Amino acid sequence: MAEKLNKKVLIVEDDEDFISILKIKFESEGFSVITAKDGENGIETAQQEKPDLILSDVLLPGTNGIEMAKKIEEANKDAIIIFLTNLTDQEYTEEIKKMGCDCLVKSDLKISDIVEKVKSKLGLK
Amino acid sequence: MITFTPFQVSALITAVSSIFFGLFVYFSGEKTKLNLSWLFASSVIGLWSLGFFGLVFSTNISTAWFWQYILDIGGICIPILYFNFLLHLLKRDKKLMVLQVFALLAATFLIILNFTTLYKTGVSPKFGINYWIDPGRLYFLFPLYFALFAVISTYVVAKEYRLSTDRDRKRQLMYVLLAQIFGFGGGFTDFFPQVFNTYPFGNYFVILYVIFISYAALKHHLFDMRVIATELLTFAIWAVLLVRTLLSNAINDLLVNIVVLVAVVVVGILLMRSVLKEVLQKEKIEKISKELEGAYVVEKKANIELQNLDKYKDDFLRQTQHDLKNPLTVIMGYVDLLLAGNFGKVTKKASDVLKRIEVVAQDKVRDVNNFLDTEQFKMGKKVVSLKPGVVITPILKEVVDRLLYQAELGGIYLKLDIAENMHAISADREKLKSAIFNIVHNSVKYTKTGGVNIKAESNGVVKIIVSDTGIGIPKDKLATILEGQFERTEEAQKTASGSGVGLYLSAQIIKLHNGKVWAESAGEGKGSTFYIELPIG
Repeated sequence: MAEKLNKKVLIVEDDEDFISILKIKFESEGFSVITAKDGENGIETAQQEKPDLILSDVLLPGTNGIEMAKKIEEANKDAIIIFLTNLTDQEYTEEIKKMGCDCLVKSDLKISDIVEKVKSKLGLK
Repeated sequence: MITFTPFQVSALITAVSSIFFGLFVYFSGEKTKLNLSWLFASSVIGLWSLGFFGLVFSTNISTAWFWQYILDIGGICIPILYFNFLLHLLKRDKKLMVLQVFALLAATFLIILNFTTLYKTGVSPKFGINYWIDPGRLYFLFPLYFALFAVISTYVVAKEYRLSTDRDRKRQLMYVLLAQIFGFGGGFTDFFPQVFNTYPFGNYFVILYVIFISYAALKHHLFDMRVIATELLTFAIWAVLLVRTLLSNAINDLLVNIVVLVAVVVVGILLMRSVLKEVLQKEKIEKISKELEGAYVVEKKANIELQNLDKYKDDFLRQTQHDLKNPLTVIMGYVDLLLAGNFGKVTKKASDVLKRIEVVAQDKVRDVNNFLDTEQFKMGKKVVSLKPGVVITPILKEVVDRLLYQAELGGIYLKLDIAENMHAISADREKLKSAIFNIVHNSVKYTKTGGVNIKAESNGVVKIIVSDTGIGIPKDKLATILEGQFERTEEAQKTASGSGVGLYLSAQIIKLHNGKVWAESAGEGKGSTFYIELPIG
C-alpha cells in the first residue's frame, strides 16, 4: 500500500463493479475515495465532501454526468472533473471538451493509466 | 304598330330568364340531380310565364285558350317541381317523400281537371287585359294547392336555415328563401283577378326569384357548378335582347334586333370561353398551391418523425454501447488489478491466463466499437472531427503497446520504426488510432510465423507501412479487401476469426482524414503490406 496522499477523489459511477475496481486501485495508490451512484447523489456528495477531483461516468441514472458536472461547476468553478466513459460519439465528447473537461475512454485504458491521468491532473507527478 | 303592356313585358322577361337560367345551370354545370331538378322547376316557371305572355298577347279566343292551357299546365307543375328541387337541395328526399307523392297526385288531378269546365269555363277580358281565365267551380283547388306548397316550401327552407350551423349554407338558404317569397308571393297574385277580382300586380316581382337564385349560385355556390359573373351577365344581355327582339314593333326593328342578338351571342360565347379558360387556370394554380401546401405539411411532419426516430436510434446505440462495453471494461479492470498484484501475488501461469483474458476482452471491445462505428456510417453521422497538430508517433506507440502482448502470445514479433521529425497532421486522434489499430491487429492476427513491421515516415505526406509475413491476400481480392466485400479465404478462416469489418472501417476513417489506404501482396502465403498516407497540416 502506497503512503497516504491526502487527496480525495469522488467516483460517480452506476456500475458497482467498476466502482469497486477504481476504489481498490485508487486507495492502493494512497487516495481517499468517496463514491456516488447517480447524478443527484454526485452533486450532493461533491458539495458536502469537496473532493479534489471528480471521476464520473457520462451515462448515469437520472441526471446524466454532463448535467451533473455543469451544476457542480456552477457552485465551484475550480472543480476538477474527468469523465470516464465507454461512449465514443461526437455529440458527447465535443460537449465535454467545450466544458474544458478531460474525457477518458474506459475500454482504451488500463486502470493504472486512469490513476496516472488523475495524478497528473492533481500535479502529483 | 303593336304596343306591349308592362304586364306582357314582365311576363316575357320572366319566361325567357327562367328558361335560360334553368338550361344554363344544367348544361354549364354538372349533370347532377340537383341541377336537373332546377332545370325542370325553371322550365315550368318559364312555361307558366310564357303562357301569361301569350294569353295577354292573344287577339282571338282560340289562341287565348291555347295559351291558357300552357299557363295552367305550367302553373300546376310549379309547386311539385319546385318542391322536388328543394328536396334535392336540402338532401331530404326520403323524409319529405310523402308530401312529394301528395303533390304528384294533386298535380295529376288538377291537370285532368284543367281540361274540364269545373276548372275553367272560358277566357274573357279583365283589368284591361285581353283575355283572362273564367274559373269553374273547382278552380279554387289550384290556388289552394299552390298556396299550400308555397307555405310548406317556405317552412322547410326556413327550418333548414334556422338549424344550419354552416355560414355558407345559411347564406345559400337565405337567398333561396327570398327567391321563394318573391316567386310564390308574386305568382300568387296572378290568382287575384279570378279569385279576388283584383289586378295581378305581384307578377312584376316574379323576376326577382331568378335574380336571387342567380346571386346564390354566383356568390354562394348553390348549384353543383362553377358560375362566373361574366356568364350570368352575358346571359342576362342575351335574355334582354331576345325579349327586345320578340317585342320588335316593325320588321326593320326585328331585323336589327336579330342581327344585334346574333352578334352579341357570338361575342358573348367568345368572351365566356376566354374568361372560363382564365378561371380554370386560376383554379388549377390554386389547386396546385393547396397540394403543395399539403405536401409541405406532410413533409414537415415526416421530418419531425424522422428526427425523433434518429434521436431514438442515437439513444439506443448509446445505451447498447454502454451495456455491451461496460461488462468487458469490468473484466479488463479486474484482470488489470489481478496482474498488478492488488489481490496478492499471481503465479506466472495464472498471469499468462489473465493476459489471454485481457486480449480476448480487448478484441470484443474492438468488435463492439467497429459495429457501432459501422452503424454511425450507415446513418450518415459525422464520425470524425479533425483537429490540427496531431502527431502520429505517440498514436503508433499506443497501438503497438496494446498489441505487443498479443503478438508475443502468437509467437511473432511486432516492430515499430518511426522516422524522426514526423510532421503533424489534422486528425481525429482516437478514430485514427482505432483505424491504425484495426490494420495492425489484422496483420498480427493473420501472421503465424515471422512478424509485423510498422514503419512511419514523413516525406511530403505522413506514410505508415504495415507489413507482415502472414497468410497474404489473393490478387483478385486486393481491390476489395478494404471495401467490406472481402470473402475470407479458406486459409484466413483457418487462421483466425473475424468479419473483415475492421479493415473496411479503417479505410472509411482514413478517407475521412483525406488520406489514402491500399494493400499489396505477392499472393497467398506471401505476406501483406498495408499503406496509409495522410496529408500534412
